[in-house]
Amino acid sequence: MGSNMAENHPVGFRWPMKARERGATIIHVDPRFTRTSAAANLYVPIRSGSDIAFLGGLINYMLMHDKWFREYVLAYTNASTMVSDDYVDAEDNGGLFSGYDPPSRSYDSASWAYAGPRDETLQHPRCVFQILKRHYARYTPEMVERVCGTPKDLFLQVADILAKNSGPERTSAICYAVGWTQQSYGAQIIRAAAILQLLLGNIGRPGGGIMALRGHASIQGSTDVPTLFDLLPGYLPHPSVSRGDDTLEQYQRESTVRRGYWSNLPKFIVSLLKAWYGDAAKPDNEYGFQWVPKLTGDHSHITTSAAMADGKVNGFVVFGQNPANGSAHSGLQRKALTKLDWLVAIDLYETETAAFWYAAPEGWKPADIKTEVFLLPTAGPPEKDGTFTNTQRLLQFHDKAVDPPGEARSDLWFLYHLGRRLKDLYRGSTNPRDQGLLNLTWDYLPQRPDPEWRITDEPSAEKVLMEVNGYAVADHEQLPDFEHLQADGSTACGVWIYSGVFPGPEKNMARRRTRSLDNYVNPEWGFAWPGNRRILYNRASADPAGRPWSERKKYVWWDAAAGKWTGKDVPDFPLKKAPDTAAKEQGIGIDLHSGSDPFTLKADGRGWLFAPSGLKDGPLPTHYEPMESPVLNAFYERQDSPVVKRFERKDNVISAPGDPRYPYVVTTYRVTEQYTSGVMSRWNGWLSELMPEMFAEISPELAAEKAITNLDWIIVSTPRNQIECKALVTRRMRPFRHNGKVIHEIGLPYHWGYKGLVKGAMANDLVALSEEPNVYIQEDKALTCNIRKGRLR
Amino acid sequence: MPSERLRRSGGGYYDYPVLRRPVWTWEIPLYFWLGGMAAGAYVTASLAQTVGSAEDRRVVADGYYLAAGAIVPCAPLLIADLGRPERFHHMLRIFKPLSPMNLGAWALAGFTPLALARAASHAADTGLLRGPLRALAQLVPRRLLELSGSILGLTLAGYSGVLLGATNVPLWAKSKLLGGVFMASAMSSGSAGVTLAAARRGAPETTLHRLATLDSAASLGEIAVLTGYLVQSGKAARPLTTGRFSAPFWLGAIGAGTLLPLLLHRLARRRHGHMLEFLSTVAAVCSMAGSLALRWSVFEAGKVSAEDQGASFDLSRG
Amino acid sequence: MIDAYKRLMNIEEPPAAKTAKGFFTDTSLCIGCKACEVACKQWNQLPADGFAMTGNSYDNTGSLGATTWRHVQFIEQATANGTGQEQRWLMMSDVCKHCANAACLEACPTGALVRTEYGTVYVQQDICNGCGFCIPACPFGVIDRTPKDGHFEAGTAHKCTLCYDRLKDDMTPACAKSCPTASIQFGDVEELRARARRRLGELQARGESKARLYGMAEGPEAAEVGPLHAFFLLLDEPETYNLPEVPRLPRKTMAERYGWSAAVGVGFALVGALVFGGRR
Repeated sequence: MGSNMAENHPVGFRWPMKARERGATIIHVDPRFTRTSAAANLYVPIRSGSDIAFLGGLINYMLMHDKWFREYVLAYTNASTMVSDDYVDAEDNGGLFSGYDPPSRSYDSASWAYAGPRDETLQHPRCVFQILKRHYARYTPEMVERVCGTPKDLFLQVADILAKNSGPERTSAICYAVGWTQQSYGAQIIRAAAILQLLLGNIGRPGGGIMALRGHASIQGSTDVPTLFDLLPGYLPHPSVSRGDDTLEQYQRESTVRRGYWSNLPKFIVSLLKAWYGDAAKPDNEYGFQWVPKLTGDHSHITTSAAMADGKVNGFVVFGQNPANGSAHSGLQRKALTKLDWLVAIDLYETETAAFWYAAPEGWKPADIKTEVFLLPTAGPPEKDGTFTNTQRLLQFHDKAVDPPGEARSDLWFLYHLGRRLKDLYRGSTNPRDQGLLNLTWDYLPQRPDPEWRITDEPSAEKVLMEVNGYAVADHEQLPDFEHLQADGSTACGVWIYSGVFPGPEKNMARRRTRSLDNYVNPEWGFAWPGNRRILYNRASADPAGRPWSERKKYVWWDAAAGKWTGKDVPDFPLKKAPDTAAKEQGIGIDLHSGSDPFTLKADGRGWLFAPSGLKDGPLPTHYEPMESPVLNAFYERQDSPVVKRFERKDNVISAPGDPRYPYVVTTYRVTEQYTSGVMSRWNGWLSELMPEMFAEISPELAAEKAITNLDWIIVSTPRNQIECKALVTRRMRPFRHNGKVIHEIGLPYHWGYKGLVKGAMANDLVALSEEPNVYIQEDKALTCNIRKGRLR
Repeated sequence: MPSERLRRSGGGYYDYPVLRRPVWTWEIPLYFWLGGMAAGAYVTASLAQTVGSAEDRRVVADGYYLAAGAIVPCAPLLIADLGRPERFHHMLRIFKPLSPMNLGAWALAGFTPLALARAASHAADTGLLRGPLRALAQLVPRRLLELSGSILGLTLAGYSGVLLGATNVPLWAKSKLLGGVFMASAMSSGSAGVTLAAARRGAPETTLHRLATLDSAASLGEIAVLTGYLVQSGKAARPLTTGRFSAPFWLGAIGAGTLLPLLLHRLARRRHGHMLEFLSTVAAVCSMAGSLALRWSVFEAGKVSAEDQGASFDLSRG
Repeated sequence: MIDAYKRLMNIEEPPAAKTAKGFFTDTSLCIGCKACEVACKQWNQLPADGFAMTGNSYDNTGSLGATTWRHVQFIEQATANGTGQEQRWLMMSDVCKHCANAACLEACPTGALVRTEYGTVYVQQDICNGCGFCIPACPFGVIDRTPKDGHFEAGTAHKCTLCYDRLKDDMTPACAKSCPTASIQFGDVEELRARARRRLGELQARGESKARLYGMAEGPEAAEVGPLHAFFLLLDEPETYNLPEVPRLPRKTMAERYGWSAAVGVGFALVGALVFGGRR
């Protein structure tokens, strides 16, 4: 669901295919019948933007028909926890939770907090379980049909299959991708799946769980070692003015959670600072904490683009990114580029972004563009060492196979030498602001350059990885894992969650490619974080007494004789903590958890059905319509997300719900043959000939209504822009019914642009600027549009 | 194309052809015509040499000149049509008679020198050749050449339709008779060529009347085989009998090529002198032109047939 | 002199026969990713064939040809009522069939087309003179000739080589190697056939009533071209995939064709003899 795995992860999709051949049932829930649907056992149509209604329907079904895994839910989730008296659910408040502040468009989550002791009978009206039941009571199969457009009997089939294939003996997995994340409540959709999987006892168990199919080969790495503005490596919060992180102590107090594994946060942040600033990071200067720039607001991509479009940004460096047609509201992105003083594009080709000043469809003349544009050639993946971190959190090191051509250099080379030159430029400065740069440890060149390669000043990726792993400051010994990190400055570690990947000299675990013939977990292939655990929270694969729920599905269990946890995987639990260990009320960290609290990173050690904190848009997922929708919310008065960041700008008009000028739903997506904004594929003839032209997929019904035949040129318009492309009329697209009314949906791949071997219109020109409140992502999976036959010129 | 394609089982893959389109161009039908005509003329002349009267022998032997003249451009035409003309000699790299093209290459390679030699010997006999060349040409063993040349000539005339039929192109392959059709066309255009030469060079009436009889018989035979070919081809013949090529086929190949000569020869039966010569000439020219029209229209319509998905399925289902 | 002739004509001793290799393409596992098309083009350095959308589902390749040796077909099938329940999207990676009785090989006048030591059908690029006869001979429409004025290996016939060069190094053909779901399976033909029969049984037991093998010796399609070294498991009738029910081998009717031709020729000769020989 929210995924087209066969098309976008074709190589990974071999595993679901093998599972299917061995009797597993693949269900594909999607607005379009795609190549994934073709390979699935069951295809279930759903209107774009109604995923929470569908998942809520499944949650309601499991609760109503008692299909939930009682023992698991009681022991491992917060079902029995009580919630504050002040809590008001969206069901009782027209679609808003308690604590909403309209002027700031945000929630104060105080009223969602836990209160009082647990109710193991799950009967108390204020226990999480009963709140959950009441919240989803209206998500009936009939409602699912009304809101999602999914035929009731199909929905019930899904529920039945899921129920029958979950529980002690069997597990089911939910896989999602960008179809879920790129919505104005994407995090809540994933949360809904988490609730469902917790109810069914599928989390932490083999063949279960929720798999986030990331959108790029190493984008997991890009969030682990983040290119995200609001995180430090290992998902540490970035120091921020608004949180009052004036000192290291305040930061630690604000960010550290007393209960659970996050109680170790001070060790992570201090070790990180030691890695960055080396000997200059000392106890008396807060380990250099003041050198880390603090956030002063929302510095995310979309907010920055809007500021750029208003002339507030001077310079822009894009590494392998192409906002000119790859980002939301790409017309505005291009306009923003014209306001810059300088732009540096570092890429394999001259992208749309690098070429905006002469090739953009807006027709700007170079003489009118004041931006100074630099285009630097970069090295491709086989032309450099490095790691990929994939969807399974698996790090795999890859070795350089050839030198990049000419002056092309790897990103690592560029950043290293940029840093070196900047340090040279600023040498001798006494300005406090410059000390961080000057004190950065920057020793990444190898002992000797590798004689096999032409480029002699290439930094060593392995040296970086060794720092990422962490080492003891005194003797530079590599650390074995993150359990050895200290908060007293005696350890350094670049990314705490990766610690263990390089535990000794010459021991690059990410390089391993050993297949285990007798263990499907294959623990000696690469390195999975944390600590080579392949399934997170795998304590939950055994019951509270430490015995596997199922002999057939046993994964990790307690070996009483040896006094430790053992199994097919590294136990994601303190190795020697017996299952019957009581929670230590006076302890810290995970000592406050009992031996049967698997969710060690959560304060209460439990999986959260109800989320008292952590998400900005509510403790429970609830159905809203996308920001642009042809219909009104059938559940509530509240139409759409009350906390999504809307950019109220003249150049970002968003259509009102049900606007008859934009009556059709449009969803954007990828196809196998091309890749994202096309930089990696539209310069290649073999790929470009497979999918040469931009097109829109429309149903035969809509085509008939608009007198459009296959391959006709059509114009797709939204309040932001219009594009022209060819129509692909196909039965795989179908109209939906919402409350009986017919809603047409069209599909747009977004791969095309104005550079490359094949060119075409840009779907992102149609998308609005907006930010999901938790992760700042745009909503491009459900918007509204109009179409008509014809061409723009 | 309709705006939606609800595909049911059965029916082909969209409307893509099952086959790839033949890549041959105009050189091929031109070669078929010239080669066939050369063979037909040679066989006609050789028949006369073997069993004919002295008068006939003298006149009809001019067919050897036609054979030689028509055969000379044949190899260059074939070579020009190749994708790699510089490798033409690879045609004779092996002897593989089960490949009609290989058989034809050998037949052409053999027939060409024989036709030239027999023409030379005829030139020696008529005094066209003089001096040492004449002496050389008179050494040519006539009977041997006539027999072997006729066999090779018949092979040349008869293989081309078999070659086209030895493909999966429905227009060419559905009926087994295309070889016979081209053979008939070759023989009738060849004897027509001899008739033309005879009429232009003032042949005796008896010779012209005999040639007319032969030509008429050849035309009748051609009509018979063509009828069988069209009947057997059924719907596969549509690109030939309808559309772009229907005019050259019906008017050229059938009308001018077979019916008109029959009519003219009929009219000429009781004629003499200039009228006889005139009618014989027109009939001969029609027959020869019709033969070219036949080769060309069948060839080009075949390429259209190759792209007819339904016809391919029909051929396959037998 | 024979040696000189052999040198002139590029004639060499063929290598000793090895175990026959081939492809079993199980279309029930195809996800339409086209990795096979790209891998084949990349390995063989074939040029792209043009950038135009066909509108035929996701198939913008159209057909096999001189510079396309793997072609993935996409067939959208839906019931008329269009509820989406009875919806199928068939995908099939088409390729040269490497027939046991190959029409192209039998047609070839120069001996360029040969059967390799692996039982595959291969065009020797230094022999082919581009006569074009193999092209209409192939009942599947596989082999074709590159343009005479083109840039890539102009004027000769081309088709899938079953990665002959890779086979010689004991490597798997590029398409099979790249196929993520093992829809394209490479191996010893006999073993593949046994596998295919088992697989068909599995699918039929699951209710795939339309599943069938195409290219096995016992199939009607093998009547003339023989079993196919590159054979398929299909999920519908062959013609749905543009595969002929009974692909025809020209050799089978050759004798009859020559017979009629000869009869006409002999008939003419007899008439001629009568005309010239009879005195009036």
